[in-house]
Amino acid sequence: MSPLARAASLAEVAVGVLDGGRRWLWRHAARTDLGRTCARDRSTRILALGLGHILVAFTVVGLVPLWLLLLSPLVLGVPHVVADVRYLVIRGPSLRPETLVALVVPLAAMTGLSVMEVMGGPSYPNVDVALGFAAIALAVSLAPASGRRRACVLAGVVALAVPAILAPYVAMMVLLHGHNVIAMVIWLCWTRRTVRLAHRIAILFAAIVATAALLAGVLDGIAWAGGPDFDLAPALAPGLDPVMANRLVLVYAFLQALHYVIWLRLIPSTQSQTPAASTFRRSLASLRADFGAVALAAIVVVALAVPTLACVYEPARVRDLYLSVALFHGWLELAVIGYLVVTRQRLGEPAA
Amino acid sequence: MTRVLLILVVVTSVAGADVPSPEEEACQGKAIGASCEGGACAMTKCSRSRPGPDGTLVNNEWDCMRCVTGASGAGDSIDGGEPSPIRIALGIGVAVLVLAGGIWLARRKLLT
Repeated sequence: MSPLARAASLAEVAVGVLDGGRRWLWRHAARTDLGRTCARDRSTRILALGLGHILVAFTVVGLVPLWLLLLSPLVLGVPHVVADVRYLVIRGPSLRPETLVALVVPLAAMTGLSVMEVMGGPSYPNVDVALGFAAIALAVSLAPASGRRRACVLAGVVALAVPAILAPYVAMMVLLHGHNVIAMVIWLCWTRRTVRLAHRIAILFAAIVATAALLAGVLDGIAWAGGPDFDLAPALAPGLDPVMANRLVLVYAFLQALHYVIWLRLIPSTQSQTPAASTFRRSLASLRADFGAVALAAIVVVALAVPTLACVYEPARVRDLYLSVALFHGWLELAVIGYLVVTRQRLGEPAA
Repeated sequence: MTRVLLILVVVTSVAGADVPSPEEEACQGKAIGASCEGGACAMTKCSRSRPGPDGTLVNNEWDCMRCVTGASGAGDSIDGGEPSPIRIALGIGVAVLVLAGGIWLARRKLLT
């Protein structure tokens, strides 16, 4: 038996166990009115999923914010980048292959520079930002749309790019915090209309209320009690007074958790072709259909390698290395948004 | 199982210790003004807010040396170290991998 076949049979067993647990949960949930409605109606199910995850994220931020900041990229980072590529590229808009390759060129150069930097090499922040905007500009310029529409969007991109390249640290700080919100924006504006507007607004409202509560200091007294004892405020909120800076770190931890939830749960459920809740077996088969067996095996290896490396090496360094390699996906999201704006497409649907 | 528990204990004890921030860590063993990733090492005030006995946040400050972003940013490049052949090879290798991934995705999109 080849290693790939052995891994596949192991995955089959694991998926069988997970689906057994899932069936057990649904059997118990179906005894309640809400559970039956969730089983029947995708929109209500996604609403419950979104609100439940927001509650969990808020609670974890209150209890162990720094653990959340340290561990969530290590465990969920690779799967969420895979989901990002899957829903924005493979199942994304009708990008022509040459357009995709063209916008990957600056992103690849940026990733190379970023890895050199994190390994202790020189840093070129304005080149990083310029390459990111180059990817957006290429996606917009090569999009099949009227010249006038392309020119308008391109003018907007250039208007943002010039000050960003001149003040790259400010731009990176905006991207750092804004990146967590972009997932919500993509889910709200550019996914299929399988979730009712009222339910989308309810999830958005809950996220805004939780963020406002964190900024108002609701968790000041209880957060920071446990977890690794280092201070992320200078990196995430430089120049702010300590109390406000710490609150902003909590907001970052919460929104980062939420953006993982959106990429790994809300967008897959919203974009699924079948309205019924998917089994783990079906999800795995769908992932395999999208990436192919070999790429899926490589994804599993990398997804397991990152947390394993963090266990045997320094967790913070592995996290830094992961973030430097994954930097490209933030700009990929912006490039695809640019393309969607120009072509008036929605993810998973043909152009209007 | 024992090994897994051991790894968990090691990880939690390492991460739960008084770990310096990444900015402080970047300047460990360096002189004031030495270049670091994204800036230069400088003496500043480090601070940390934690809940006090009455539940309100108490801010502690102390002198520390850490990497101040953009401190030496006069030119386009901030020297965080020599661009050694290994670093260059690693950077190019990762860039080629990302590019290869993009070409693979483009081919896959073309086929589906």
